[in-house]
Amino acid sequence: MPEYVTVRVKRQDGLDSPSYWETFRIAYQPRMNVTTCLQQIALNPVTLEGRKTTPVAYDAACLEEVCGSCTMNINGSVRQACSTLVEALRKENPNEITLEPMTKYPVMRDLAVDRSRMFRDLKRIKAWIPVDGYYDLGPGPRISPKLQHQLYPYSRCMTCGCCTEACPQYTKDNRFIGAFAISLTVLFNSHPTGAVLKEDRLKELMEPGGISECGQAQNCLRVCPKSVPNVTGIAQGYRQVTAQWFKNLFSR
Amino acid sequence: MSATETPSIPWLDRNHFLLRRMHSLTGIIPVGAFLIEHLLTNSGSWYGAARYNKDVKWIQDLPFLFVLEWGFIFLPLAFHAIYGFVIALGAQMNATSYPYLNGWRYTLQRITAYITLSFLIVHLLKFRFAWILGGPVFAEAADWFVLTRQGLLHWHVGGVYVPAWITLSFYVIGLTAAVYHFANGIWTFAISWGVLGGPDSQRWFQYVCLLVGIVMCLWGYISLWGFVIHG
Amino acid sequence: MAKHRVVVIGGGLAGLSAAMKMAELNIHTDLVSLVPARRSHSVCAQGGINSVNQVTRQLGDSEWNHFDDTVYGGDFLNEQPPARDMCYWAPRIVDLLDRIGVTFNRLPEGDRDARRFGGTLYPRTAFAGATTGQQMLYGLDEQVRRWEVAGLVTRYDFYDFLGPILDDKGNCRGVTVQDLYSMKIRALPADAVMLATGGLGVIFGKSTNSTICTGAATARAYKVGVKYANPEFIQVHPTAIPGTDKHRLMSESARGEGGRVWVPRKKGDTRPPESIPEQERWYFLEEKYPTYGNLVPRDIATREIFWVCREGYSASPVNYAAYLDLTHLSAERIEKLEGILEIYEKFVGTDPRKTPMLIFPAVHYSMGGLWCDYQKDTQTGGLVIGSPRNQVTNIPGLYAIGEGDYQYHGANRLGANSLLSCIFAGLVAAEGMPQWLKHLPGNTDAASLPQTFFDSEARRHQQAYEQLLRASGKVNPFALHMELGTEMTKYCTVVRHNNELQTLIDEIGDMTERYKQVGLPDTGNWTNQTVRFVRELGDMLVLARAIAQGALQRDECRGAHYKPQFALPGPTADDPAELHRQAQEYCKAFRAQTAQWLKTTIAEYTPEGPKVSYKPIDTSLIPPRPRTYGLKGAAIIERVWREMQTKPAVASAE
Repeated sequence: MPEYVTVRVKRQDGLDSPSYWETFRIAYQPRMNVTTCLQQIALNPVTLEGRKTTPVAYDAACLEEVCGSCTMNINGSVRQACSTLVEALRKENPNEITLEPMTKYPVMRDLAVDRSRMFRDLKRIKAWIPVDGYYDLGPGPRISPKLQHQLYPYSRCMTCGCCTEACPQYTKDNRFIGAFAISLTVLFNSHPTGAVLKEDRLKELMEPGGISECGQAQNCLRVCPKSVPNVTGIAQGYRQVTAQWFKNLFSR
Repeated sequence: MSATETPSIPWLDRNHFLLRRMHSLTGIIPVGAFLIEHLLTNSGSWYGAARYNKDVKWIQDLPFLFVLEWGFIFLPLAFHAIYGFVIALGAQMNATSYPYLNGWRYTLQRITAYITLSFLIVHLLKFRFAWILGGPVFAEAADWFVLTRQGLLHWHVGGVYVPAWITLSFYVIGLTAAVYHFANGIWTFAISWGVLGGPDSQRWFQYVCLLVGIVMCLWGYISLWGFVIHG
Repeated sequence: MAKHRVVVIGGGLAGLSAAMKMAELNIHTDLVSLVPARRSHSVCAQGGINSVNQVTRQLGDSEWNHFDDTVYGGDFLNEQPPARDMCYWAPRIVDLLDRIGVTFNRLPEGDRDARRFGGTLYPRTAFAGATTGQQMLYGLDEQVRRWEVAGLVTRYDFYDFLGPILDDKGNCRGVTVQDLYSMKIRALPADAVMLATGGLGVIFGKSTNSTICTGAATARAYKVGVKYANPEFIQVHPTAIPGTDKHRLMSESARGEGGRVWVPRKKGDTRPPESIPEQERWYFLEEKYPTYGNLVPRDIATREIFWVCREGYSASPVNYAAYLDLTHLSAERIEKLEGILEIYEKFVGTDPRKTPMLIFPAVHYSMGGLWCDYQKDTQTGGLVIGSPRNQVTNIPGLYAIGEGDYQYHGANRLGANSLLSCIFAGLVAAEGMPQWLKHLPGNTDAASLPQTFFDSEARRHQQAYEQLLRASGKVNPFALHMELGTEMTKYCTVVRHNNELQTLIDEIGDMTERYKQVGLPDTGNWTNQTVRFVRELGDMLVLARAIAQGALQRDECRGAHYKPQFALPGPTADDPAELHRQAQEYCKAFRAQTAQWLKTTIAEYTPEGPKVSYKPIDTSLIPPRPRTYGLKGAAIIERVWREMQTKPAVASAE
């Protein structure tokens, strides 16, 4: 068992500030994760060179990989700080761990980024079920276990942004809504009541930044910490927009 | 917001989906289809000059060839290339960070696009538009086989002699890139037109595309070899 | 149009359901949240949501039974009118969630599946895989997003709530908030404010709670005069996965689906669990509680696991732990638990489908919270829906909903009741808003108050913030927090002793002094997360003090609050006559305890520490009775107790 873990953090003081690196050495604990490393840095914010610095800013909430807060680039690939164990990282690089902010979103500070674009895109695709109201209107539609099994994996998407970070087509400057939003479109279109807005959602998927920005690199499937079937989602999304497109061409 | 308040949306954006569909479609039909036809004609070289010249003559004798050529080859190709270039410029390739098979496939699709485009420019300047660089007009050539062989094995351009091995290597690379781009393009086409509904169908269909690619590559190499052996 | 504005602090289930319902009622909401709503702590709830359903109804279940289980499980400290209506609304709430698209598990005909949870004998709990809270949170967040697009909700994500704004008459007129990126402080005028700020697990250092559950918002209301009720009632979840940064919940659904808790019969048995034969495993919960088995209420499961480990039966040689075994479950049942099994696998590295999981109790939920009122419907015994008194704190216009309120769970919360109480409280508070807004204090709305009034509040907080930024003492705030967490966990969780609680209070006092000497390792004025944490730490100390004080003063055992010194000795005799006599003794002692302690603890803030008083509670619907889970002669106790109720004179004459 190693005694120490070396953690290199890419830091940035504010939105338009230049980035710089700082290295920290942290006492190793069995089964520790990256969050623990960041907590240890906060406890004693002194760099390897012995220089006093500030605790590293990062987003975190649940620490059990279900809130989607602590997404960052760890050793160059995007994942959640809470569910990334140091032991596993040592297999990738025994010498050090590098932590960098996501590159597709504005860096607010250090590892904290502004992912509000994801929530704005949920508005674009009308990611909701248009119910009639919140009074007692009886149960929802009956849903077969088969459909539930199909939908449940999509509903686990925690808008962490891993799929967008790993997507070569999703960039800071374009308008691509990303795999998560396409998958969620399919989720809402498949719900009996949600289907009411299907045409609106598909129209949005056909807009600039919609589904046709996808380049089929399919990293979104590989990096999703919640195993959301993004490839199926995108394939189904394509099937739906194609059908809608033909329908638009010929049925009016 | 009412319609009057929305300022003019750029034409490209208004027709975004149509353009993307057309980009996807033109890659298969007519550009991809032409690639197959082109390989078909050229593979006549395997049987020697007579057969090749006969087939080229058949093409040269087609009615409205000018319209066919420009309407079904050059313009769609130019659209596919230029619009594709615009799309590719907006991306950030990252296969080194995410070295998954599909990530590489995606990256190669873009790299082969650039190679194929460069190759095609040279290829067209060498034959179809050779007159721009002071060469002969292809359609008016007395013996198309000889002209083609000349271009492949003894190419002079602007007073510079290009050795045969360079030209041939260039052709092998260009051909392979074009075929990769086409075969993989069939795969992405089938996804984006909703034919392949999920990872399982995508998996078996990729082998179909792989087979198509291998067959087309071999076919192309044979055509090239035909020009080399029939002197 | 919506001219009134209501501020909701907190974007979890309670806050979202309030915002959603208010939007339907055409009331504008400013939704202030530390994190985007989808990242709120509600997302962590795994197991499900309780309600009577068609199947349980035919098994003899009813809303009343659900209510009775809730109150019995809560050791009668619940406020009965709101708890009653929560249970009566439960089927409607689950229907509503179903309609907004929560991906509940289904049966072949398309109905919702349900499982059994702790503290009940009926399969009442609807669930969506093992991520029910996540699905419900998303469903509500999506509805709120819909209203955001419609212009009836404005979100303030990454904003910290600094305190309510009170006018000179003591009415709540808005809140002061801080943008956590720009660190700018501003006032938001509001005609009503709802605090939906959740739990306080972080006070205990490592808990199952999210890092944002510090209780700071609650403390900030408490400090300006909101009463804090039942602070001492902290639920410790029996099964959590111990970790270096937090303890992760292992949902009760693991036991609901048939998971069994055991330890080796031999003390210090170091064999791997797979190689310990069945007869050498001690299924202590099943043995002691044959009726409920592994699904006893949480307080009991927690104490039992704690106890066997302390007796030396720990399944792990390095720390306290018991096995939670799922290896015998069918693939079908395992599938329903995939979500939580993945969590275990990811964070521990072993496969719980093959190897029993190592678990140990961890702080999980606060039954106590801001005191709030209700208006009772004398006909039903429930609430007057639409009354603005429901969920309002002692400050007019300031409401408390969700885990941050106190009414629903008494001394101990039943599994799968928390999601229900959050949504119910949110809806019921929203239902009261139209009435409240019609008759605002002094017939003045916040928008017509002078801007200077709000500016001066913002300025006050600005000064406090700037002063905190300048704090340059020697005390490390992060170390101080760890210390607080360790002490609180050690002295104020599963088992409590008065001398230890006194020590704890002294230590909190000492820590509060040292907090004044805190040094800020980051003095920047942009996205300064450290200053937010240090501010929270000060508030945690305030709340910790109230928790410890409440615990010290309550000399009894009730629900999650367990003081061995005051435990009522249960019957032990084998001889039926003697057992009967002991049962009578037990019932008498129980009656005395009820008379003395069945009341709500009320803590009021003073700079010197909490002022504790007690308030009677409404037990008009279900009179208290002894909780007999696992007691010897339980049936006899129950019979004797019934006799005492009908013939009180005879019983007391004996």
